[in-house]
Amino acid sequence: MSIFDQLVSWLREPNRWSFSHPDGLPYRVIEHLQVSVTGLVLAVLIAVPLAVVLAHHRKGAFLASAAVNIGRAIPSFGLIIIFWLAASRANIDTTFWPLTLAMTALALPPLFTNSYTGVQIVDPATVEASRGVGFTEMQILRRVEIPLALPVILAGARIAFVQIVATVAIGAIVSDGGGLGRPIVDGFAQGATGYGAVLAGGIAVAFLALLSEALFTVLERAAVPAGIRRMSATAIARR
Amino acid sequence: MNEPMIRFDAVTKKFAESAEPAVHELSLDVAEGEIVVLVGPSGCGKTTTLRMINRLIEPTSGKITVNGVDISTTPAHVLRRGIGYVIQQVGLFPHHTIHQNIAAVPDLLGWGRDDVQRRVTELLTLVGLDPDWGTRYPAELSGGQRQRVGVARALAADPAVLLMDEPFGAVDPIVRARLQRELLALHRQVRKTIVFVTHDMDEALLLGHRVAVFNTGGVLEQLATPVELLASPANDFVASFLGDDRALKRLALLGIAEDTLARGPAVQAGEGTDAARKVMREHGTEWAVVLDGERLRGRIDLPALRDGHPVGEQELRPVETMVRRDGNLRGALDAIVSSPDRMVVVLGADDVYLGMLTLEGLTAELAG
Repeated sequence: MSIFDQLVSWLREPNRWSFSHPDGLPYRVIEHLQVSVTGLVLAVLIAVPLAVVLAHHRKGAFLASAAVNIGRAIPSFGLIIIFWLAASRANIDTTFWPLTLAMTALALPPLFTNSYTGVQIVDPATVEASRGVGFTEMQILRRVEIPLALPVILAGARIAFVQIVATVAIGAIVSDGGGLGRPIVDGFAQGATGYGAVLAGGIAVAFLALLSEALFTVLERAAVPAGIRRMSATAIARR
Repeated sequence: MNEPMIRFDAVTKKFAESAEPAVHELSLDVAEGEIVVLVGPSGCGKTTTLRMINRLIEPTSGKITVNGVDISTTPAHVLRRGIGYVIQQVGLFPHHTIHQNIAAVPDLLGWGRDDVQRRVTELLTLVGLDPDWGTRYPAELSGGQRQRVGVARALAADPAVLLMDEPFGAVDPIVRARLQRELLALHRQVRKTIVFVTHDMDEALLLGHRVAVFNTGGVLEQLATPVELLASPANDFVASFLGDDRALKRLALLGIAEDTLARGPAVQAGEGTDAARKVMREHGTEWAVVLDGERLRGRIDLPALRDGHPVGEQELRPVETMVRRDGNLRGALDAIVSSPDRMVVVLGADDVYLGMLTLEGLTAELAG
């Protein structure tokens, strides 16, 4: 039986298209997305406010650059293990939270760096002028810096989310959850007969990651303020 | 005298990173409706001085009052909403339309929509832009147009004081000259108190009712009207900053005084050729101007005189070099030196002949 036949027969197994049964592919997609979205949202809530406020005051620039390096060096699997260990010691259910929090940690560096940079690169003259005409510091952040930094912040969210979607699957190694990692890990455990499951999980993860990338790209484009979109359009037209 | 609009009282600013103060013991009054230009080389504290007025920089010691109120007692953002601020890079909000940019301060102050709309239209017209441009974005405007929007934004909430930090430094000389003229015209209309920073002495002399010359170390070397400054600079630094052509610059600021004018070789159109020859002889010229009553009609040259006819019926030539009464002495001097007889016709309104300005007359006016 070829690997594709294995895939097809795996997809035909009972409960495979169920939203509620743990064997269901849609069930795992939703589980995968729940972990990813929750992980991202928590990371956004932590990293973005901190980064934009620090960047507004031009403080903690070392954090932004350090975050890039940490982000590159971070071992995702190690992170998952740490959170899993901590949860199992504390007798907390290990299916959802350890993996989700590990994903939050994974998403912090790109979100922090991009949010910080996005605010930092807003034209100082624009900030100076807004301060000069009487905006409070909070108004400068909310009306000038954040709107102008939004495309860069969203790019950070895109990088973080795609990374999360691709990494959640590893969680299946240590817990009963793990979203689309479940068929991959379980398939491997079965050996030669499990390749169909591995392939199905793999394709689904890849598809989900690409879809997320596309979705965020659309969001990013929409977030570019109208005046700037026109500016780049005219700048291109002049060339 | 009324309370000054802005008063610096022994204000010193020291920055941590520098031993020398940026502004040293500055005391300075700016009257209501006055334009004071702060000028000096870079690092002389002129911009620091300006930015202390709207508390973008806090003084190390001393007191600044605006309209009689110590500015340190007003929250900075509240103070700034009552003071217009224009900078060289303009700093328009690129993500906001021109309308939104100009409406920034009225919005902060919570004006109603109709009031804001009316004000934006009014300001666009005032700064010479099409009121329909409110929907455009800054990126669609030229540098000069953006600076006009910057000025409109600064004036939006009708502040009594306008601070301008090298506002025309980034535009080309032709646009700059136009924006300078427009600023003076605008000032005649709205009578704001303006503090203007520049490093360009010519700009300072053109715009300022008074000019404050700063030296490095934040020392105010001299504060005087442009004419006083050019006539008697307080020291070598001020003199050198004014440049070598100080006397010429002063000429540009002085008007033509009627009592220094000579009658010159002038005949009435109805008079005969004898009368014309007589005035030419008296003035040592080979030509005379021909008048209709008080108005200038043209000139007649000695060789062209034909006896038996009044001069008005003879072949007249147009007067080529003349200056207007409201022109300045620099233009008059230019006309004098380029005329062969070293004199120039001065005309008043409606081409009324006022007389001739000669080098002697000009020198007399400079001395007086």
